[in-house]
Amino acid sequence: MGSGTPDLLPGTLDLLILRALRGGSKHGYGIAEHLRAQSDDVLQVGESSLYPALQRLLLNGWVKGEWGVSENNRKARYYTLTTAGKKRLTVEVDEFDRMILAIHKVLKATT
Amino acid sequence: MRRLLRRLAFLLRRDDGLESELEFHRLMKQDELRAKGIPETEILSAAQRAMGNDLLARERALDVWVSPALRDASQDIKYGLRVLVKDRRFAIVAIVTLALGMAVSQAVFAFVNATVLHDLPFEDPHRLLTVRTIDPRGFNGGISWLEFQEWRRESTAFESLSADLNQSVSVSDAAHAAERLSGAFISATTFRTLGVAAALGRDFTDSDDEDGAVPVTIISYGLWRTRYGGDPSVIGRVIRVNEQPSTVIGVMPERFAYPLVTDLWMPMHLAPNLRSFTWTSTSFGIAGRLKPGAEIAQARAEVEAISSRLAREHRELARDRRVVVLPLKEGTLAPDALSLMMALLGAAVVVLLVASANVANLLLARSWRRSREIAVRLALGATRWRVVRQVLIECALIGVAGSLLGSYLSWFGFNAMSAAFNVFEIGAPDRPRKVYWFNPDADGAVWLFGGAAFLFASLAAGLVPALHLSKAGTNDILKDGRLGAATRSSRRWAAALMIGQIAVAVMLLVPGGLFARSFFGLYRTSPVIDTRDLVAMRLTLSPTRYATPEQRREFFRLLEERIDASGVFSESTIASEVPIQPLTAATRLVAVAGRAIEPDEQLPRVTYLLAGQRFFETLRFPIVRGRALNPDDSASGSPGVVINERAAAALFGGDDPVGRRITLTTPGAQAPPLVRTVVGIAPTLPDYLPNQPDDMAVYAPLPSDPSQPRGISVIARSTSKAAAAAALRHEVGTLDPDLPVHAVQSLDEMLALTRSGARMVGSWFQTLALIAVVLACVGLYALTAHGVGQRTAEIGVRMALGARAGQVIMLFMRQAFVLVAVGLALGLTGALASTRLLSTFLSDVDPRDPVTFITVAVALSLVACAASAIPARRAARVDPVRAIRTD
Repeated sequence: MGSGTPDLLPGTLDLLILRALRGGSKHGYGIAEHLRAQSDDVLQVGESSLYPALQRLLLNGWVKGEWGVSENNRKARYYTLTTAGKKRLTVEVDEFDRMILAIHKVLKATT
Repeated sequence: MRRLLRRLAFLLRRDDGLESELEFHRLMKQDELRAKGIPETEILSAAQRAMGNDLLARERALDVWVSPALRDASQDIKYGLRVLVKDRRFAIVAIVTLALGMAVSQAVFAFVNATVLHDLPFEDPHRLLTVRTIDPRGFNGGISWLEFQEWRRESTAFESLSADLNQSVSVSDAAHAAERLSGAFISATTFRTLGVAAALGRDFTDSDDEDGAVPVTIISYGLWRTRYGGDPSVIGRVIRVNEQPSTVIGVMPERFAYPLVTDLWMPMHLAPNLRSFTWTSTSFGIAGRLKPGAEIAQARAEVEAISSRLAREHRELARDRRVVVLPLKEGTLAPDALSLMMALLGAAVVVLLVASANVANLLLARSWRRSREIAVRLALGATRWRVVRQVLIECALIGVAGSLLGSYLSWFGFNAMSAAFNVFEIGAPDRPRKVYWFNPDADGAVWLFGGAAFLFASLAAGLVPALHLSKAGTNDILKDGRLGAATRSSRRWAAALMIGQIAVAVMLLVPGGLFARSFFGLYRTSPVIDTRDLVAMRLTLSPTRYATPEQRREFFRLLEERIDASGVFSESTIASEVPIQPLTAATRLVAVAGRAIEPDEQLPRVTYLLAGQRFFETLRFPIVRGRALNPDDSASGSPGVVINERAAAALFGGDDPVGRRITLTTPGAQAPPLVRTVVGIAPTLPDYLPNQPDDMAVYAPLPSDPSQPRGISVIARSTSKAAAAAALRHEVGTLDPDLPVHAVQSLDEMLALTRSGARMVGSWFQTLALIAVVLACVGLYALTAHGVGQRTAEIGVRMALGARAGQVIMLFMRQAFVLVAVGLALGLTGALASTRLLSTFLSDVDPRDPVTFITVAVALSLVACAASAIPARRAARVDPVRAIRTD
């Protein structure tokens, strides 16, 4: 794994995780699966990026983690967006749109 | 802020859950793979592959919470602790070595701080000055009352200038028995000069010090508590000071005791015989406060100008003395005390230096032993910095442990030093006290010094091994399996260090030895007087009841009669002084009678001791020529005296003095000289005090003295001080019930006390020297052991080729010999140059005493060789086969 994953722009992983959690709380594996499925297998997030990113979000207070039981009866930590996380997501999505638009403009420029 | 709290909460939680989270992830992955139809046997490894390095994931996740540098450091500390616990012997030696250095330097610093560095406990102490005189022998002298008045009148640099006169006084009141206490007659401005107010009641006013003013007294806090039970109504009470009624007007604050140790203060005009003090009655101390903005140089110039004018006008002012203006703080110390303290502090810092250098050496030797471990770490990708840091952290751990242990030990050292640091008043030698400027409180300076010493020691100890490591090339280490490249320079450094340590040990051992010799030498040479079971007691006559010499002579006659008639003492005598306390004795200028004296001639001074009838008998003081004094000696026109051998030699050279006449002049007095006939010669007493000013002595019959002293000592042979004092009190009580018996002390105690200062300073040097020797031995041991470890393979080869054990031992001992020889040479030279500083504290021994120097050199060589012989012998027991295989 990992080898097929394109380099993400810095900070994008955090954004993607926040976005993945908007639909409801998920555990780490669930988030990775969600990102893979939603991106048609393009984004395969490795554990060594995913878990540090989750810790970062926890530290910033944008998500909170709670222990629960998974669908197949295993103990797993479920991450949920906090109010601050939701606000952050909106900000970051706007920011990201602006960035993409800018990059797009540069790439499509005629000169 | 919230982030910080979350970070803290994370750190405090013992289980961060990451492990189980990753485990869950792995299981999910396995499920996924199983669903894809991967065979069960491969699932585990496939999942592992798909997961990648979950340790890395964990590490990175942790990095989010705790900065990696911090986490590495805590890891290094844990590792360092493990290493130290494993290598316990090394750790203990290193920690104890450092602790010794820390303990010594901190204890000495705290002591120097308490005695010298603290500011005086007065207002704006930097503007306070004192004036005193120094005679050609380096002894401190005071100022005369007449001089002081000239200065106060003429000088402009001082805001105020005050004089004080220390005298023991007798205090009695309705409720308590008479007591002899330490009193001071002071200018009314004294407390204002110092900027200290009374804690209770009021200070002296200028009108208190006018002739005819109502006598008033201010008492010390201590006296208030002990004698008056801390009763505030003592203010206004009338007590009797020297038999005169005097009103208590104030109580000074706790600990205040200016000029030295004082129980009560009286205005100067009450000082007995103040009007009759001459230019040469230099018993006054001075305290002056500079005007704001004035410089000490200004005060100095003024005082010097006035003094030289006075010296021109009054020929009797001793011309060879020097008037000096000093900061009051400096003035409180003996002239050499400050430099001695600094020397002591220097020595203590050097001991700390040696201790940390030794730890550096131990670490160096160990880093060499650990070179393979370090090589592996470097090869596995540890950065150089990480390896160096590991060494530094181990060093800091040793530093922390050593400092904690050292601080703990230093507390004992400081207490022992403070306990020995006492003032013994002449009037009350049985009552040791602390001077007021001794401030044992640990202040910022002590903590700062402790911290600085810790940092310095850890850095000094760790830096060299760390640098050494950082220079070593990875390839070299891997090739040889050793840190080879830097060993030459490190060996040179270690050798220099060793030489320095031995030199330091010698430089401390020599003074330690000199003090020991001076101290024991005294006991060896003292049996001129048989001091066993001799008890001395003091009586001080009231200046009013015994105003004339005739009254005093009559009292002394009655006293002697009374004691003899009572038969309470088997042997007893009275005398103006106990002869082993020469500093308090009166002196006279002496000349052979009939010799023409030049007008400017400085006559030699002799101790002038007035002896009772059985003086020589009671002290078992032998007479070497002629005879002892007898009652007829007082009666004749030129009364007989006994002189000591030194006086005989100085005055008469080889001639027989018996039957010759001498003249005795009171310094500074107008009275005509006394003419006396020498009837006998007594042996010279040993120098009980260092640099004793008056080695020559004249023993005259007490009744023959025209002025008759106010104080008298009763010396009696008795096994019990208390019984002797009680018996004397009873006999004295029948003569004068108001006369207290004080300063009860055995002569042996007196001897020990006169030596207590030298003994104290001596014991400091001896302790420091002992520690320095122990450290030097640890150093030599470590160095030799290091060499042996390094050359194990070589030893194996040598032994395989037929070298004998003795040759192998010599191989290593040779190095030690050279180092010890060079260190000794340097140390002895240094000691020769520096012991001069100690001459004021040594008696009966030359600061260059060859016996001490040789003993130190021989003893140190033996101990040092023994220290290096232990590891060298181990080298000789090396099994050649195993030694060659060490690589």
